[in-house]
Amino acid sequence: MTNKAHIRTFFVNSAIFIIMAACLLISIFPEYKFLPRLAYVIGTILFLATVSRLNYSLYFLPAIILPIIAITIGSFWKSPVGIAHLGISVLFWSALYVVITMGLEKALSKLLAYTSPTSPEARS
Amino acid sequence: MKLAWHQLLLFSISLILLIGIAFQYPLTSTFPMGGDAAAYIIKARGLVKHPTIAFGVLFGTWYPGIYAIFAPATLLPFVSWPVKFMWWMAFGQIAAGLSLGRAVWKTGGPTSSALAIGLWACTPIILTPMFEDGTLAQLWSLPFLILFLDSFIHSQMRKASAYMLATFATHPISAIVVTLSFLIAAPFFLWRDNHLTYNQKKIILLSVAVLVATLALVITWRSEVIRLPFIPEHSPYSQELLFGSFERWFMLAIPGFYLLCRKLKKDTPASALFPAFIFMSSLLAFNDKLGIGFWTGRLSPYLLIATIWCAAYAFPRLLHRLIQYRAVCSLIAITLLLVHGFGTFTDNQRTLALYDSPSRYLRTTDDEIDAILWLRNHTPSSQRILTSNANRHTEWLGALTNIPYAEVPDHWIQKKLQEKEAVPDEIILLLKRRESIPKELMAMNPAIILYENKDVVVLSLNKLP
Repeated sequence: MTNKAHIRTFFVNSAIFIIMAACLLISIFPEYKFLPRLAYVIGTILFLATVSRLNYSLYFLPAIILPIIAITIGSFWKSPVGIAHLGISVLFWSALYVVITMGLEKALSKLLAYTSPTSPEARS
Repeated sequence: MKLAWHQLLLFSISLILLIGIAFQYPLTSTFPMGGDAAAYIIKARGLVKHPTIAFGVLFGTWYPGIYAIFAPATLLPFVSWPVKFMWWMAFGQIAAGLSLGRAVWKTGGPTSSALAIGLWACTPIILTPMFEDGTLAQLWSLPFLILFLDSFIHSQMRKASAYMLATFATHPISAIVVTLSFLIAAPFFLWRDNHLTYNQKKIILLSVAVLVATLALVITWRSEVIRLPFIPEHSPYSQELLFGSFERWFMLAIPGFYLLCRKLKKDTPASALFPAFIFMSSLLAFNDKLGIGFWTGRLSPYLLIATIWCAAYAFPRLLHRLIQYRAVCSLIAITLLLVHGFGTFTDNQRTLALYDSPSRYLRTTDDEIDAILWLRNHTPSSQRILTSNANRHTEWLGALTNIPYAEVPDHWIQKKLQEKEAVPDEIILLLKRRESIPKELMAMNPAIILYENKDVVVLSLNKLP
């Protein structure tokens, strides 16, 4: 095992430990949620930073980030048109999800082609 | 596949929790809680009255599938319909838990599967609205929805089509969630996914065309759906999921979602469906946060299913990185499930007792049921009952008796009583919860009172001098 692999394993295990400890602490002390939540956010970022690969995050990132953006915008702007707004919102955010995910996929495939040892760009 | 002792123990505990917490409802309640229960019973009773009525029930409803599922209840003798309804709710809860267990087994193995069953067991009442609202159809649509996701992800297209149809037949909301997830994921299957065969892509393209056409037809024909009036509501269930007793599992579900995405992308052809389902269920579960608030409580169980799937997948994998012994991981899972399960059982006990407590009834009271049963035994078949639609408890007239009745606005009945407008063969049933009781008229003409108890009065204006 190389040094780099050792360091990576250490970070992954630490991230998992922080996540699991945060989940456990929030269960045991439900009245003190701030610190476990903070620890959880740090642990999750560390976990994703060490474990995640762009190829596998294609669906994951838009599915997590877009609803958060939608909810944030929704908390500022209230709908005047009832159920029709639900349909429009769902259509809009779904279309955005598809476009962003496809865009990411295309960008990734270009990046992979560029960094591939057999590609002319990488050789030059 | 041979299971280790600790996995068998985990499965046993999960199944005990699933069955125990689901059966807690029919075993400790004497009457259904939900307002929709009477409507289901009225239609289910119609199935055996006459073939034409059965035909009318099946083709005149949004969810014919649930009446096919509820139909065997008509064969059970000596059990009252309210009790049958509660048992069918419990069976639906168990069916959903077992389906989730099966689906998670295929992606995550036995430990994750057992954990998913155990976590689903801890959801009724506190995290899902089905028991309290009496939404039998939505509860029974969940097993089909889960099995559709499972079959489709593993590219078993025929099975997936069958489950999709079953979801459509059992509940339109679940069908819409599934359809939207499928439509969002379809571009990835058709243009990006290289694992699917030509025939599978052809089936997907055909399904997309059919679903889009169906949605367009529904919106064109039933355009009132767009203008459907509703009171914006916040969901206590999504709050509980995010900030309550389920928060720890929601937290675990996010890394679990990444791990599951990675696993699905590596191993399964139609992996884009699951993230699309998570995306769609998040948008719908938090639609109150989008400034809409349309049926937010009813739309939250889909996100709950996704959360349990991801958390159950993540738990053994993450814990195994820290603790090498799988038996220890299983024992930790058992401890957490027991703590969570006991908490749910106690919480549910409190809620069920509140519904069933004579001092603070939230469901139809015993006096109301007694009055309805009195009407069943003492009303000649030629008579009909007029009642108010001020509350939904009078719906039980149709569920517990065969007497024809009409529900009208409360002010119509008040006007009729003021004007002493007697109609031959008409009996007026008034519940004392929200309706105004004509005390003066009753005091001056005691003969018009056919029956009275603490909660109900039955009047006949034909007895006026």
